Amino acid sequence: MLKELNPLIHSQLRLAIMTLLLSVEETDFNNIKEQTAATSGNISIQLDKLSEAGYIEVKKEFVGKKSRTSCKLTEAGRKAYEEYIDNLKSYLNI
Amino acid sequence: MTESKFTEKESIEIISQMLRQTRKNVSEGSGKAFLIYGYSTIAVGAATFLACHITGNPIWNFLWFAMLGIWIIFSIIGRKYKPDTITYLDQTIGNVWRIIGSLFGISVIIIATSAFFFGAHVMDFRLTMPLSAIYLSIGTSLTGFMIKDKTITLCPLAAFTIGIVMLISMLWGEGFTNEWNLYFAAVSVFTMLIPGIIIKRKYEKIC
Repeated sequence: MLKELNPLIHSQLRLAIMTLLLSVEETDFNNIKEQTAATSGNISIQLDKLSEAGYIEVKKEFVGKKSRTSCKLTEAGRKAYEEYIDNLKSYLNI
Repeated sequence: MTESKFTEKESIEIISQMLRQTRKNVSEGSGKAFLIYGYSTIAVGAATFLACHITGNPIWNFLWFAMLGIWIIFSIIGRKYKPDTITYLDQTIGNVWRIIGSLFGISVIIIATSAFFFGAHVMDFRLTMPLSAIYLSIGTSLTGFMIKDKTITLCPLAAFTIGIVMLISMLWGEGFTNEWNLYFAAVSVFTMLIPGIIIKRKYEKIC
């Protein structure tokens, strides 16, 4: 029987954010916005959801006089992503 | 990108698209750092050589401590400009250079304090030049190996050779001469300037 795809990851924007974070150590909000072409509001909502699930770590800091929001994938997030990929493979028979 | 339901096939497309977009493994920052330190070292080396040559006073060798000032300024500026993305490679290269920096710091402390332990009461910094040449060449070679660039991996071997020759000449008793300042400027060409130009060009090609 096929396992259900993790609904927290199986969303266009959240999956894009998780994939982006998987390939880097850390990235900031502006880069996520640039890479996903989504609106700031939408990204903020999805980051909150992923952060509440413990999949990502959000850090807010000041760099010079500007505020900077950066995100990082957690170990739980990495495991959830791997599981999502395994389930996706079984759905697509690959 | 919107928040909507989508199929499994579409999720594969999103994963491939995001991976394609983020396939950037060299950051602009590393190239800039190599170039800034490369040019500074050449300038300080040439200035020290000329000052010692013209005045005949070896006290001008202390001009090398200007590099400490350049490092402090660069670190302060660096804190104000964080890159938008830090890749795993950026972090690993950063850690390699943190180790190299620590080795250099430890060496300077030991050299400075050993004068008192051995009762000489004179700090003799001549050894820092060959040691720095060796440390820099190891750091740059490892960086080249990590970013898979043969020129950056092999080029520092010339600097390593200069460092070893300096050490051997100290053993033979010939030791430090004013020309060492120029040799060290050459070390920075192989360990910083050439790698910096290569990394900058690579980054410009990606973007």
